[in-house]
Amino acid sequence: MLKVNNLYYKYEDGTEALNNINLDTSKGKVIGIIGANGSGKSTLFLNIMGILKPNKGSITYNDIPLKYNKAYLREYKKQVNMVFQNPDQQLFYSNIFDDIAFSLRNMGVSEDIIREKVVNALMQVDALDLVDKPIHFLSYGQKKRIAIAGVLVMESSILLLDEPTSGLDPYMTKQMKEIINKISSSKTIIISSHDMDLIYDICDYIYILSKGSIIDEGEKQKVFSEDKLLNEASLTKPWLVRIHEKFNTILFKNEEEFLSYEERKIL
Amino acid sequence: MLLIDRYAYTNRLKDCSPQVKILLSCGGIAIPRLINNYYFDLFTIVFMAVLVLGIAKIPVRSYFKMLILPLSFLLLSIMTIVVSVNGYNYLYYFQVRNICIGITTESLYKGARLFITVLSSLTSVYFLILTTPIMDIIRALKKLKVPNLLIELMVLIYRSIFIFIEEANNIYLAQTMKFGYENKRIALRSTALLIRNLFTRVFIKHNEMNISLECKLYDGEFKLGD
Repeated sequence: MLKVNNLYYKYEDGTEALNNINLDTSKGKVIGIIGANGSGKSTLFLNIMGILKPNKGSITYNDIPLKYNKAYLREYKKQVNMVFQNPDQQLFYSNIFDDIAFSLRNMGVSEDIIREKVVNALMQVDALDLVDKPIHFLSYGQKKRIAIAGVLVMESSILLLDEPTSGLDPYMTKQMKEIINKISSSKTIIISSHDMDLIYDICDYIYILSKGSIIDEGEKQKVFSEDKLLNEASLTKPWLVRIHEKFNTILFKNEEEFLSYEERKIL
Repeated sequence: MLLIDRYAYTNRLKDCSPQVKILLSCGGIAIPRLINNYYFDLFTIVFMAVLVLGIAKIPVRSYFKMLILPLSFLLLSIMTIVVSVNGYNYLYYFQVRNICIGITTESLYKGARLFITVLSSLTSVYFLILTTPIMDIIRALKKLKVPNLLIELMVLIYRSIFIFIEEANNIYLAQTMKFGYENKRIALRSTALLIRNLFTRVFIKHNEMNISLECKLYDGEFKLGD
């Protein structure tokens, strides 16, 4: 369980990036952090990862505050890890297998177990058929899947996903949703995104970040009914909520629920 | 994507044992040197060309196109050998005051031999890089107990080449869209801008890479499996 307590972060030039951030992962299984570009989502993630050190406040994992020494952070990263927005940033090898095995080899896991875990991770992202391809032959969406597999393989208990669907086509976005749903059964996921439909579909607890502060938090139905706050954060409502408000129909929890309801009605 | 790379992954010999291919290629370089026979060099060239064109089915046109670049360097250097000053038995020469500059039978022969020799090595190397994916070469090198440091470097450089080319390509494309290569003066300025941009982007990428390395528990060594 990860908690962020009254966290403040300032850049070297004095700009305040994060103000009094409080976050608690025990409130949901898939936590969404939504905010406009430059609202501080990525900075918050780097703080949670221990790569940036907050000026004030603390981050606690299982009620133990984060210690900023190498040995502690190393153990911490086995528990809490992150998939970056740009997949090229975290793929180092030209060969998919070696790339996914990278972190395991750094941990000193034996080759037999590595093979098993890599195959397992590739299966989770549905990319087993890509294993023999060199990375520069892959499309952006495929690279993104490999990048996720490279982090999944560590079997951390908390996973941060920075903009998991940005730049993906509708089909890949749908697949990404399925992947996230699948892996959320075994770990807590924190997603940052400004794709409101995605967030509404898969998150169960949401934080709204605006100009470095959390201006609202709560269950998704509640958060997306706050017109004023969403406007303040330069965000819009997901289409399911908009239809609900406009036509006064049922508020569906996700797309799947919406689609299956339609079918029933026609029959 | 590099043309060489595409062929390496798609040719008909890609599934052959990389050790055999490395051995053949090294043999193609070493054996002609040991035998030192003009005809054997020629034989090597033909042999390698048949392997690449006939068996691996690399398109003839692209094969020769790819050979043009090293060949042009080769021809330039051969020129300096063929042209001799104040020699004997000139086939053709011209005189500047009392210095003779021209081509002698001996220098022509020497140049031709050197050309054939270099070409035989060149075709041998091309055989390897056109038929063997780099990952196979690396795996084979590891079996041969090549120091890890060298292999690590190969792996990283190879990956970086593609990021670098892509980045340069993106900048270039964006510049052409904005008429950055209309005339020579503008093109020169755009090129300078491209180099500067590329340089700063390399540092940004380096920074990003360090962050993700940290997340993946990097401890100073790029480990490779067996």
